[in-house]
Amino acid sequence: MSTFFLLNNIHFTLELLGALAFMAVAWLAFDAFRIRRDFTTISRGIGFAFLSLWQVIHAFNLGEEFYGYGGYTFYLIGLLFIIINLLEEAPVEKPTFKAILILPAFSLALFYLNIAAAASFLLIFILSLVQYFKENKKALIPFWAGFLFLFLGAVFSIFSGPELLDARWIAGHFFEFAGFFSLGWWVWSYLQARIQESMVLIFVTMALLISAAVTLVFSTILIARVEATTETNLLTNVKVMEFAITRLKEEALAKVRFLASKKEIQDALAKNNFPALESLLTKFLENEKLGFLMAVDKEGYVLIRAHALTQKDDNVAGEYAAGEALEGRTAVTIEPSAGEKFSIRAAAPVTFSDKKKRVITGGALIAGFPLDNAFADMIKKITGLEMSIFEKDTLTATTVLNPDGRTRNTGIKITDTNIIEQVLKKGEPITIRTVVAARTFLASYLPIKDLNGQFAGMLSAAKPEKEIVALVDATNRLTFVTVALLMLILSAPIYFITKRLSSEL
Amino acid sequence: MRWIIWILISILILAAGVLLLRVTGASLIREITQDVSFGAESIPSASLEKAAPPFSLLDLALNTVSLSKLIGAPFILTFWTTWNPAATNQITILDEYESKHADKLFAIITLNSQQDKSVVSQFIKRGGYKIRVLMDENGSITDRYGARNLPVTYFIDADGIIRDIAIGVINEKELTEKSAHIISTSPSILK
Repeated sequence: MSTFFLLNNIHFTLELLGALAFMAVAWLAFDAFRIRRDFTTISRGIGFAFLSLWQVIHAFNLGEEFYGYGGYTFYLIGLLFIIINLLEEAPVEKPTFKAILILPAFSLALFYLNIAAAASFLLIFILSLVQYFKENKKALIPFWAGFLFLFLGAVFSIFSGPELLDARWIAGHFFEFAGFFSLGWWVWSYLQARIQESMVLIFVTMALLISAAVTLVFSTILIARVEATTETNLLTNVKVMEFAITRLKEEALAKVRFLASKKEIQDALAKNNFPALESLLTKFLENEKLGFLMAVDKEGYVLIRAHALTQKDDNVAGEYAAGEALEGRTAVTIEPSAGEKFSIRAAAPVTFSDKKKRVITGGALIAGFPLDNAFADMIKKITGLEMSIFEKDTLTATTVLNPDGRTRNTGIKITDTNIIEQVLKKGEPITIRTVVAARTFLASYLPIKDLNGQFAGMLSAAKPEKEIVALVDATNRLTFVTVALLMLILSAPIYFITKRLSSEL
Repeated sequence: MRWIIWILISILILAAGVLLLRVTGASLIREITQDVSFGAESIPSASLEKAAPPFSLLDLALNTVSLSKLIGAPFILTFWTTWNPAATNQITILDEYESKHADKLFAIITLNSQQDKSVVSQFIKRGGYKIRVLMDENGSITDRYGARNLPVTYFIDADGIIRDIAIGVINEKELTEKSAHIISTSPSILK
C-alpha cells in the first residue's frame, strides 16, 4: 500500500483518538456539572464537546463547503469556551491582553482559521500554566502539556495541507498525538480516583478505542487491494483506448485508399475541376464518417479541405503521411499538422494518366481524425473512460474537467521525469502516482508510435487520488460506525456485570 | 450573566454566518478562474428582463428554428464557436447535462456564431454531441443579442423574457441553479 493511503489511515485513527480524548474530558465536566451547577463548570464541557465534534468531522475528511465551515465553527467555538472557562476559574488575577482574539471570516479559508486555532491553543496553554503555578496542582501538568503539544501541532497544520503528507504533516500529527495522549492521561488520573462512578465512561471510551483500532487494521488491508485493483484497471483502460485508436488508423487508411482509387476523384484532380472535387470530398467526408478529408496537388499544396472549405493553399508536403503519398506510397501515422493539429493521418496517392498515357501521381488524398477534445469526448461516450492524449509531453486533449467543472488543462506539460523517461524514451507503459496542475492522480500512460517508430505522444487514463481517498473515507466511516455499535452493544452486559460485582465489593 | 449574553451573541453571529453561506451555496466566496460567471447585476442590462430578440435560423439538419416556435417553454440559448476552447468546453458540459437530465424542464439550444456549416457539422459529429445547433453564419443574431465574449448563455423563460445572462463557461451546478429561475417564472410548466 502506498505511503499516502497509510498516512491517510493514520490521520483518521489519530483524529478519532483526539475525539475520544476530548469527549472524555467533556464527559467529566458534564459529570461535575451535576453537582456544581454553574457556568464555569458547564463551559468546559461545552468547549470540549465542540472540540470532539470537530475532531470527528476532521477524522472523516468531511472538509467540503458546508461541513468544512461547520467544522471550523465547532473548532473555534470550542476553543473559545475553554478559554472563557480558564478565565472564569482564575478570577483573582485575570491575565490582560492588549491584543484581542479575532475570528477571521471564513472566506479567508484554512490558513487563517488554523492560525486562529493555534493562537487559541497557545492561550489555553498559557492560562492553564498560570493556573498550575497558582494552585500548584500536579494533576494539571498533563492538561497544560497536552495543550502545548496541540499548539505545536496546530502550528505545523498552518503550513501543511491535506494533500502534502510531508515532514510537516507528520510532525504536526506527531504533536497532535502527544497532545491527545496527554489529555487522555489527565482524564485517566481523575478516573482512577472514581472508577466506580466513571465506569460508563471507561467502557464507552474503551469500546470506541477498540473500534478505531479495528477500523484502522481493516481499512489498511482493504485500501491496499483497492489501490492494486485501480492500477490494473487504469492500465486496462489505456490499452482499450490504444486499441480504439489503432482501429481508427486502419479505418482511415482503408477509406483513403478506397477514395483515392475512385475514378471521379482522379478525373476531377486531373482536370483541376475544383467545384467537382469540393462536391465529391464533401459528400465522401459525410458518407465515410471521417474526421477530415482533403486533397493536395503534386507539390503538396492543399486544394480542398472538405471539413473546412475556407482553409486551403497551405503546404503539407513536409508532413510524413503526405510526403509518402506524394512519392506514390500509402501511409498512416499520428503526427501534428498546422491545419488539423495532432491527428491520425492516412494518405494515399491519386494517380491518373498524363497526355503521354503515363501513370503519374497527380496529387494525394489525406484523411483521418483530429485527436482533440471532441475526439476524446467521443471515445468517452463509447467506452465510458476518462482519457487524455499527449503530443510528446504536452496535453492536447482530455475528457477530465478541472474541479471548477468548466476548464480542461490542455496545453500543460508533464514534468514527471519518470513518465518521460519510461514512456517517451523507452516506449514502455507506466502506472504511477503523479501531480498534474496541483492535483494528484493515479495514472497509466502508454506511448503512441509514429511511422518512424518514434514516440509521437502518449495516451493516459487517470483517476484523481481524491476519489480514491473519498472511497477510503466512506469505508472508514461505515466500518467505524458498524464496529462501534457492535462493541457498545456487546460490552453492555460486561459493564452491568462489572458494576454489579464492584458494588457488592 | 454578562458573559453568557456575550457568548450567546457570538454563537448567534457565527451561526448566522454559516447559515448565510449554506443558503447562498457559498457563493459569497468566488473562485477566480479564467472563465468567470457574472451575476445578473453586473451584466450590461440592455437585454435583461426584456423580450429576447427574434431570430429564424437553420439548424445542422437544415430545419428552420425561430424564436416564436421556442416560446411557450423555458430554454437556454448559448452562443459559441469551435475555435474558442472555452466555448467548446461549454458544449461538452451542455451535452453531458442534456444526456444526464432527460427529464429537465427546459430546452438547451446552442447558436454557432459566424462559422462555416461544414466546420461546425464536423465538430459536432466528431464529438458525438447531441445538442441542437443553430447556425448564425453572418453573425447578425450574435450582434442583435450583443454576445461578445463567447461563450454567452441567455436564460429565457416560457414568455420569451431574458431572466439571466451568463458570460463565460458555466458548470453543471451553475446551470441547474440558474435554470431554476426560468422554470420558476414559467408557471405553466410546473402545472
